[in-house]
Amino acid sequence: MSKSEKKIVLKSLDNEAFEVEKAVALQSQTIWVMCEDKCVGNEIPLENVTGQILAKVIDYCKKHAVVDGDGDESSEELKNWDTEFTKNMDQSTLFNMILAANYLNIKSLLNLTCQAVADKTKTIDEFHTFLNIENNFTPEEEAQICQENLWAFDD
Amino acid sequence: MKRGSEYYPITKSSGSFVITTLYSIKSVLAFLFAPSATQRLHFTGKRSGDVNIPLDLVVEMLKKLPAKSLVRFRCVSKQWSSIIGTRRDFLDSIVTRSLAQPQRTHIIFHHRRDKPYFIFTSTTQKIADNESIYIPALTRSDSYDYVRGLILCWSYGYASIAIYNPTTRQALWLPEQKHMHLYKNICFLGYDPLENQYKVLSLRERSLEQDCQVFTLSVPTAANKWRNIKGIGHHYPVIPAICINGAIYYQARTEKYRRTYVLVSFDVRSEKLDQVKAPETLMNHRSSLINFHGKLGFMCCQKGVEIWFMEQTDTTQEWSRIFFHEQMVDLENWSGSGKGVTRGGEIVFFYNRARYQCIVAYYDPKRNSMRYEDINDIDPAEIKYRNIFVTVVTDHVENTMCLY
Repeated sequence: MSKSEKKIVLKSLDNEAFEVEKAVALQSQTIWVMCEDKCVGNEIPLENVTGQILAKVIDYCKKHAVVDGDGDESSEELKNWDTEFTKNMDQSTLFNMILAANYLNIKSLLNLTCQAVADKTKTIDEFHTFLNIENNFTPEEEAQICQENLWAFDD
Repeated sequence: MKRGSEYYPITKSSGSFVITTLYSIKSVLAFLFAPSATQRLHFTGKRSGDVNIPLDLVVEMLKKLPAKSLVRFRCVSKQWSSIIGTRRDFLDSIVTRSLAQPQRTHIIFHHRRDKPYFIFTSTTQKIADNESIYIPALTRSDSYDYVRGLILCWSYGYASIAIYNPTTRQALWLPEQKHMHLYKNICFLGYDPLENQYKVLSLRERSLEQDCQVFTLSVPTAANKWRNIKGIGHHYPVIPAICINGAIYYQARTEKYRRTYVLVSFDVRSEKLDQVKAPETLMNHRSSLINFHGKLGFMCCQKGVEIWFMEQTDTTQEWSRIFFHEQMVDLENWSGSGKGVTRGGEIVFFYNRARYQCIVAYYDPKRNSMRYEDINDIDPAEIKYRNIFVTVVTDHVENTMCLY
């Protein structure tokens, strides 16, 4: 990989372009492989990520790139930053972040967003709605399984 | 979910045990009448989501949910129910996740009076807390065997044997064995990590060759039956046993009233019983089998305290005595009802100090020192008069495995 090019341009699904430091972008294993294989130029099209989500992913990568290079910031602070980062995201954004983190292959971000969804999603309805999951129990089966696990609904 | 006639889920309404606990009644009522709860049963069918998350990502996300939420989210769809309750990598990840948590000692208090019930609780919480689980005694019994998230509940001399999962609060009654009621039976629970199988071994008190039976726990349960296996001749099994690395080990008397013992192993996968060479201490004294850092060990408290453990290769078994103290600190009675070893190597006992205080004691052999946890909610007199039996569980892990 050439070290002469310090910056890289990431282009989102909706054609939004982000210029970022290479060190920031390379936290994504997907981008790292693309650069390594020299299969892309200085501009990398990311066909699965919208500009709105990509902006957030870049925020995350910037924060984590700085910390990795500079040992001054404690892991505690970083953890707090992570919590703040996902705190105000709605479920739809979080699910899209999960997809982006998976596509870009950023393990720590995938972990963080999965954890955030796990923490935020409390009801069965939310999963049905946000994940487009079909409730394929018959009403009898559903009543039975919910009845058996009644205690778990009691917060 | 199909079940054979012998199997009953714990929440089946015909089982009077559901209604025997106030806690259950409260939650049943709350569920029936609270609008927010009933809403959960009738989904609106609204499909506003535009995100299509691949299944493997959903599984990753589920692995991060607390066990109670997982039980709740079994109601999301058949696929989720099957992932949470049966998928091997998922179940393993939940077990592994609990091992990474700080270890807490759990206790089973079996109340024998009136309507028997047992409580499964951790020493760090008050027994009245919601997290304690009140379970009507599943059998007429008093014997509990804990292995990797599941509790085997059985009785000495009665035919009912049940398996209870405290993580999901499911219970499964095993089918009756032929002629079982005629003899006193002893049961042990084992887990084979290679084939991921739990099996129950049942022996008569006087174990004869033709009398060993095995029950494999697998879903669907309706097809499972007790199977006879080859025994190893007369011996009188002593409880409790211990399951380590796919083998159940138990001490057994060679004759009914004699204090000479043998050590017997049951390989959960191959279902073979075998006698294990053991040091003289174990052959001549009643000892407690322990899991000592993943290896079979035992502790004998007849003359001071001795701790031994076994190094095993494919062909050899070697015992070493790693610890011996003639004078022990503070403990009058080491052979109390509870025993176990923490991951840090502390030996755990439950005992009734001076008959006025129930205590969990942790003995650290390296330092020859003791620490204590008070159990305040239990009346020591009840234990003294044997109205409550106590079993200590030091290695509790969460397991979302579906039993039926």
